Amino acid sequence: MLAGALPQPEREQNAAIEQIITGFDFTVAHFPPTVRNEIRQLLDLLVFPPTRVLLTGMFASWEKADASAVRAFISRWETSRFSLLRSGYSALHDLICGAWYVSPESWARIGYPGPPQLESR
Amino acid sequence: MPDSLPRNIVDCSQLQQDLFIEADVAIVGTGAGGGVAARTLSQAGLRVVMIEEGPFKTTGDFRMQESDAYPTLYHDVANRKTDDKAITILQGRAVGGGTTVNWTSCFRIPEQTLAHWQQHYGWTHNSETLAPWYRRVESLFNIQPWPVHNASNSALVRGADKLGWQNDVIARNVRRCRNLGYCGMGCPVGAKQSTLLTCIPDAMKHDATLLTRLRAQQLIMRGDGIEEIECHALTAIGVDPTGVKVRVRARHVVLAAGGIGSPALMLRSRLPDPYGLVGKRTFLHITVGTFAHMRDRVDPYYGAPQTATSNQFLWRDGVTGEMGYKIEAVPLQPGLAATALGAFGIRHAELMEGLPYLQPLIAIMRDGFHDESAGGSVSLNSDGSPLLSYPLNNYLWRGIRHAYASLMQIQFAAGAQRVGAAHSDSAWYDNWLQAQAAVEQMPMKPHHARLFSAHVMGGCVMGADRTRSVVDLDGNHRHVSNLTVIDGSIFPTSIGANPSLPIYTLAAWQSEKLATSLRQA
Repeated sequence: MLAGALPQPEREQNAAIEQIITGFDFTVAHFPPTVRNEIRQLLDLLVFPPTRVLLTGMFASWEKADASAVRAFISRWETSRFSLLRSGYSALHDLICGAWYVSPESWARIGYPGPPQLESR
Repeated sequence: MPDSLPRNIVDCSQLQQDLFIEADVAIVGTGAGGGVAARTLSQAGLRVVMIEEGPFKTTGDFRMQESDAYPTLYHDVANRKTDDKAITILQGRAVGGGTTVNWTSCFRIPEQTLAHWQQHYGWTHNSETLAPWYRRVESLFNIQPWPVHNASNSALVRGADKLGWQNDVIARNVRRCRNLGYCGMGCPVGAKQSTLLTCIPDAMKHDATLLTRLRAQQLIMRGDGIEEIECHALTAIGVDPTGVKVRVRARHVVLAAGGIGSPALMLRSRLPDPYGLVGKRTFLHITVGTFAHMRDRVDPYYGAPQTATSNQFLWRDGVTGEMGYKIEAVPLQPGLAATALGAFGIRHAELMEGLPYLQPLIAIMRDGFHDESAGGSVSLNSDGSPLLSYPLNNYLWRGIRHAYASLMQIQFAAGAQRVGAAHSDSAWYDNWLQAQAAVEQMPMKPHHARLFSAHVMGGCVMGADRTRSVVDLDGNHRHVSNLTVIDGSIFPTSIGANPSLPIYTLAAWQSEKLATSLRQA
């Protein structure tokens, strides 16, 4: 989802991924129970092998999947003729991209200088 | 500046035991409607209790960081969705409601909208009868034209001028505004004249009590009136109940929980609704956007967010014809940009790299004026929480297609190098003809077009005909003796402009009238 957006050195990239996961969980914790359940169901479908193969077309487990297979799955959901899969794409997109770009570590690459300094505080 | 809580603010997430409170008036919600009502009623000498689901956060808490503003100050982390997840709703949830986080754009109700409400819903107000109320709230909130355009708004003016399209300066509710551009995260310098900084402190001075992190769960009826409100305290995160309950007993109840919250509370409470109208006709001003890549830096995250608007297409086919729309710029901090730009992977990364050069425009679709625009409806999940559905039909999609084309036309006229739509099938287009041809072919389907809403209206329609309205022409519930609705849910259609000033104005008039009748009683 964030290919091309994360820092390249492995250590920094792992730190960024940790941060995104933390941000993802933080956001989900602020959703009402009904929405939290839906996110849990979505993640279960992605992890449970039979539904993973059926819905994403990915035969390898997440640990073993290569980038092109993941990309194919995301792309398939993005433009699926099933509205439900497109909404799954939106949920993952917003949670993952949102979690990364609200964090200051992402800002240098995109040239966002951050909020202005307020001298009087 | 540390804000120590005044004695009459109770953070209910901290309560260890149940509470019982009595008052003359209980107000559910502290946004544009509830805030104004609390001020008016408490100044009239009535004992007011405000019930607010969100937290009390104020100037010193606002840090211009999306990472803490969205979870703290918005419903569902600024990512509230319709049932099919096709529309993302930005809705405030804090003391001050939407006024704490809105972009401060103020418009009077368009003449066309008022005339439509007179003709179809029996409204008696016109611009003349509302004039004194406008003057009053415009002075209270210091609402004045703000002709200081950032690069984004300048581009809107430049493009519209070049095409000969109508455009105007927007009036804003600010005092000593420093054009920071972070209105959506709460004003960090106290410039925004939200109800948080105006009405609510006024109400507190007149001994009103503010209960925060408290959800009004049910209105308990006795006879033909509400006897008390059962409320559930929420944890500090603000979504789950702690188990502590607060009962609020009042002579009169004001519902001001907005276009989703007010009808949902009525539905949970099973208030009489013989014509099945509660939660129907919910309007969203569905919003679509396009992005221009400009030659020079735009820095779309800085500067007063909305200072220019074009109404060129607002009434493009008359009031009840094809759907019209209002054109505005938007602030674009990286978190909001990242979700609004639908692409993923390398393409998304490249789009984000261009953020300093991006110039966003939006069209706010004027829903509710045509037979094929009946809006959405609020129902309840099994746990009693609200669920909004909003069917998307061809009438709306035709309007959206038209809007994409107009937005891109302005951006090319303003000198954009390339332009794209917030739509999964959009590419970058190098000129207007190419863009126009592409928009003709774009599939108009949910989740392809990125749809947003920042204005929830309707659901408790005000009108003269008892078979078509939830509340009468004063906002009083038709079947409950002591309940008045004072918020955007009373609008019979959308406004056709950002709704904060219309809500302030009608709230000022309604609550004055209510104060008079309660004092006489």
